[in-house]
Amino acid sequence: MSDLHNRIRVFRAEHRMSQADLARAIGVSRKTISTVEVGRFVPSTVIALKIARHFGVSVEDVFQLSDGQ
Amino acid sequence: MNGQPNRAELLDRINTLMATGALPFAALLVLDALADAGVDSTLITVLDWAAKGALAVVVVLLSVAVARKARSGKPAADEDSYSATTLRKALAVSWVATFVVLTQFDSLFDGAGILGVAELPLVHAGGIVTAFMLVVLSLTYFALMMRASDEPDPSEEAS
Repeated sequence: MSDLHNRIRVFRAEHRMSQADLARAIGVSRKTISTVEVGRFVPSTVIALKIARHFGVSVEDVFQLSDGQ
Repeated sequence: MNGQPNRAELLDRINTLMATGALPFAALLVLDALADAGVDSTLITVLDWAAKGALAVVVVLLSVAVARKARSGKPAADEDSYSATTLRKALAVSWVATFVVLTQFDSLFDGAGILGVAELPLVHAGGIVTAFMLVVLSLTYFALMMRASDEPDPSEEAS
């Protein structure tokens, strides 16, 4: 697991989106979204920006380094 | 929910098919070496046809996936994905494992007398080492993919 925490699950719930919906919306596979969500895969800058843009927030709202990093 | 996989799903499928195809290709290399080394049996012939059949199926599926990807529009600006990263990791692991085997070739094979690989002509020794690399690549890829097996998405039912 990485030191990168994210709130994708929270934003998805707020927007009533499944992982597959989000994956289609930003042009990645569902596996990519699910592994980013659980912290197993650190996304590229482009994917992180696309996720943040899709939810209309900044990247820092979606992704944060764990405490002390 | 539509049934058409997007470009990213097709790329994942292509990566998985390449890792899958590595196994029958590795089997063919080993079986070829065994046949040329004088091992002659019906089992080898059957396994050879099974490996060729499996490889043909993979090649057909791969061709279909590549064609569908080509028709799916212009490439995205960024095609990074978990499966692409996993395939790159598996390639690195297989390269390192093969390097270690090659540097320890004498003690691993000749010294221990395993299969007498060191006695094989260079072309077959190369085939077996390549087969080893392909098997490590494939197994590493699937091990990493399974480790990240999809958790059920709770919101999937709601959508």
